[in-house]
Amino acid sequence: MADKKIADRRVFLKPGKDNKEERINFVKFWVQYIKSHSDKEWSKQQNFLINSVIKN
Amino acid sequence: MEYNPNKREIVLNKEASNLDKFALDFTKIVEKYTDYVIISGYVSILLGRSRITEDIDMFIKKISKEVFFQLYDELQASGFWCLNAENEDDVFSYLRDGLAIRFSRKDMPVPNFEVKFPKDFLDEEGLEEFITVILPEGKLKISSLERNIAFKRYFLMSDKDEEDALHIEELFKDKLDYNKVNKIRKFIETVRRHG
Repeated sequence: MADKKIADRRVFLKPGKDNKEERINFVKFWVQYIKSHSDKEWSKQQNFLINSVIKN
Repeated sequence: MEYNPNKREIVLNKEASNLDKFALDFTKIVEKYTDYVIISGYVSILLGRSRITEDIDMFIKKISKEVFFQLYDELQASGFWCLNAENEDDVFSYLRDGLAIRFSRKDMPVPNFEVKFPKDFLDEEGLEEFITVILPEGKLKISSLERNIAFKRYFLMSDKDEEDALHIEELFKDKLDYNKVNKIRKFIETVRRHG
């Protein structure tokens, strides 16, 4: 059940032809992730990145 | 994340990052003494962009030396220090001369706040038309989404800036005022590019 819920919300990343397109596609992919998940869920992902560099 | 353009508010129930906590702690002090607005990269990061930054850019409304000294005293008493100088006269003179001054938590230069007085009407306008981002831990004032897109895309223009602009655009595309983006673009091209 939980797996189906995750599958329903899943978004896919379109591979880019070069680094620039890859990065732009990732920005769009990540925005779709934000839109399909709660603020709490996506911010946990974002905080893995930010809090690994910036300590409290 | 809910953006209400009429109320100029974004409600964001995110889990605050250490960068968000730094921003909230610093702005809670600044707003006692003057108006402020956060601009540029941290705006995109606050709104979810998956990258980090070492600094948060901010304009504060011009204040007298006396008021600045009070602000500076409280910042120091609350564990912040200025990376540019210690003497309050020196710090204020940088600001008055149109230079940016940076504040961080004591002995932790990263992250830091880059604080500036507005230097022309474009900056002044940014201070006036802020959006309030309401987080569970407090509020932050950011410049308008249209202004962020215009400055990133037509003035700063690096790959990172383009991606920041795209992030905001993709997130709020149905609620953006593109007449406003174009108006700011024209101002940028006139004022900043041609002096």
